[in-house]
Amino acid sequence: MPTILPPEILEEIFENLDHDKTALHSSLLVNRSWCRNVVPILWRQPFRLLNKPSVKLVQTYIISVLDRSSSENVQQKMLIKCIKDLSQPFFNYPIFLKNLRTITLTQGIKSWVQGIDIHFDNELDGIFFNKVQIVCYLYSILIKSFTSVQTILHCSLDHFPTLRKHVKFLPEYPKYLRSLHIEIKYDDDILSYLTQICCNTLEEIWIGPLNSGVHLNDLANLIRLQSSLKDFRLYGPRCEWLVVTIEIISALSTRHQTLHTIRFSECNFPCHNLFDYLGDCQNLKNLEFHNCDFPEDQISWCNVNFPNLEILSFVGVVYLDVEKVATIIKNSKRNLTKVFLPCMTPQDDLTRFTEILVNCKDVTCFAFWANIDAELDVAFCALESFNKLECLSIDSEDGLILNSDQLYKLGKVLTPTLRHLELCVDTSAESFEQFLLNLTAQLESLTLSWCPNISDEHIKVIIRYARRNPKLRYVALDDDRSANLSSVIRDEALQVIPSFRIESIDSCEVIRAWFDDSIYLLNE
Amino acid sequence: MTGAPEQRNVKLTSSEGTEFKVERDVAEKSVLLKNMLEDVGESDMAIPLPNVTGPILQKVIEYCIHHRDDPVPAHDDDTKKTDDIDDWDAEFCKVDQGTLYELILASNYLDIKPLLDLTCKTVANMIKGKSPEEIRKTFNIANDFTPEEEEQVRRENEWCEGR
Repeated sequence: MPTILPPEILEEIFENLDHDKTALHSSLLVNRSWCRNVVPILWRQPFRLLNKPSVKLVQTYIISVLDRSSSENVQQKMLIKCIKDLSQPFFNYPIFLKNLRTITLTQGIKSWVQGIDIHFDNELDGIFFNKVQIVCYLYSILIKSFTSVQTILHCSLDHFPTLRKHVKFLPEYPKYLRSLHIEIKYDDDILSYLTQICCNTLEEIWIGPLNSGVHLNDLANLIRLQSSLKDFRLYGPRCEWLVVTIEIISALSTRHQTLHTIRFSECNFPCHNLFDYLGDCQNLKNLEFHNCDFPEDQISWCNVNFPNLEILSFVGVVYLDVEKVATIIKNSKRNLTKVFLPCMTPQDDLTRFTEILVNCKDVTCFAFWANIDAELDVAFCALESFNKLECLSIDSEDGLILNSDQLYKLGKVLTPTLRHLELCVDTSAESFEQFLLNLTAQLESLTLSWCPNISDEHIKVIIRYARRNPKLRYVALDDDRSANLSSVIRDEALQVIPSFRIESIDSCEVIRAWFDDSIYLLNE
Repeated sequence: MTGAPEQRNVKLTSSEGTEFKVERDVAEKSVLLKNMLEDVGESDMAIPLPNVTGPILQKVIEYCIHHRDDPVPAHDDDTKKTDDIDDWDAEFCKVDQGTLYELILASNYLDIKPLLDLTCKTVANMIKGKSPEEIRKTFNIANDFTPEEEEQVRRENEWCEGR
């Protein structure tokens, strides 16, 4: 019987524990061989494993990078004096880091520096003048030591503006960088730095969600450098459109061979020829616009098609040229599985909308906005042949709410495959119960957005449905419209439905959660 | 000859020389055997497997027969899960530790990824929730750290201690 497993097998076993820091910690103390195999796995994403700043983590990083032999480096000599235990670490821990979160790193360094005993008036005279300088110095040497980093989740800090200049890697690094995510504060410095060192290995660039509008100056240059860019996402500040210039769009079109995902959220496009450029990206699988604003003059759009498109989303987009949308769908329908339409009305007739519906009958997720009753009638007719439908959202720009008759008609056409439903209804509890009784599908989630007159009776109906259908795990109601519900009924619902939520509902978020199959995690 | 291709048997010989006959699609669950069979073509010769004992080969074949119709696994998922083992697989892995280790080595040698994943997950689940000493006891592993080394490793990795 073998008592020792070879290293490649041990690695395979520990890979199964890569999210369990406690198990990894126990494993690394078992013996030397286990330790050698566990350390690279444990130290590749400590920021993600911890999800909070850690002085102890930073302490190990710092003792790993300090050069004990250097007599010239006065900053390091000063810092060495502040550290009690300076034994040479067992491993060069920073080289294992793959997933860097700059905010967690900074906060960890800050707490570490706060904890050291230092007097600036005498011993550090001329080297460091304050603790912020020490934080910046440590940040810069640690960043340089992360030579294998693949993902940077970057967030610049308001109270450390000088740190923005310190995101500098060794000249030959980061050669493995695949993903750059910038959160909350747009940071031109890191983009211009990566452009300057000709970093061309990025496969993902995600910017945002940002907390304020900005000029995306250096972004286009960085995009143009990438030879394998696959996934580009830009999220502007909520309720405040971020202006996306044609330079960004044209830069993206130069990456047409590799790009498979483009997602814009809360963005405004002043350029009229947006789709002329995007049309070059023939390998796109996902093209998504969420709460975006398009120019009124869309005449110059060419008729584009994306033969590999799987997701086309215009969630929360108002009055995009319907003819163009119909053309994209018609020309790209082969692989389409998820379609989220922009607002279609006012239209003279509903021919285009009907055409779109015909071309979408094989999709699994479908969302549309209805502003007039005629739109609903057309949609209900078409939905009957949507045999694979799993997610359906019916929303409205002008506050169209389904009445009892319409709800009854909808209930008759929904397929048994449906799992997630979002709609806005105004019916009696009895009609609502009849709708749920008639459903052949077993819903997993039900989102009732902007429904007026929701009463305890309606919730009782939902509770009875949940008792009949244990698959129902998530029910969300809009908090603005649910103020009259009694606490007794809320508590009862919570006992039957694991995620019973009364909150502000953002249709975009609901639909995005369907994309990622993470509806149950929403707002957790 | 025309018509539907006949499912041919493949002969395998374990390390002690015991011969096993399996249907070709079952044998082809092993990437090693699949490649061999493609290279060799039609042959009645038994394929020797000197690294696998008879009882272990028997277990491996049992696994491959049960999973013969499974689709080819997709690319490695980023996040491996240890809680998605189905009942049959869990029962299959209820063996003594020596057998489990030999199954891991055999699936690695024969290149049967789903079986390797399953057996490694089973070992991973045996590690979960245990202290270093309990792990050593479970897997009969000697601690070759000096007390000073162990203390230093513990200190350097203190950030991940506890929940």
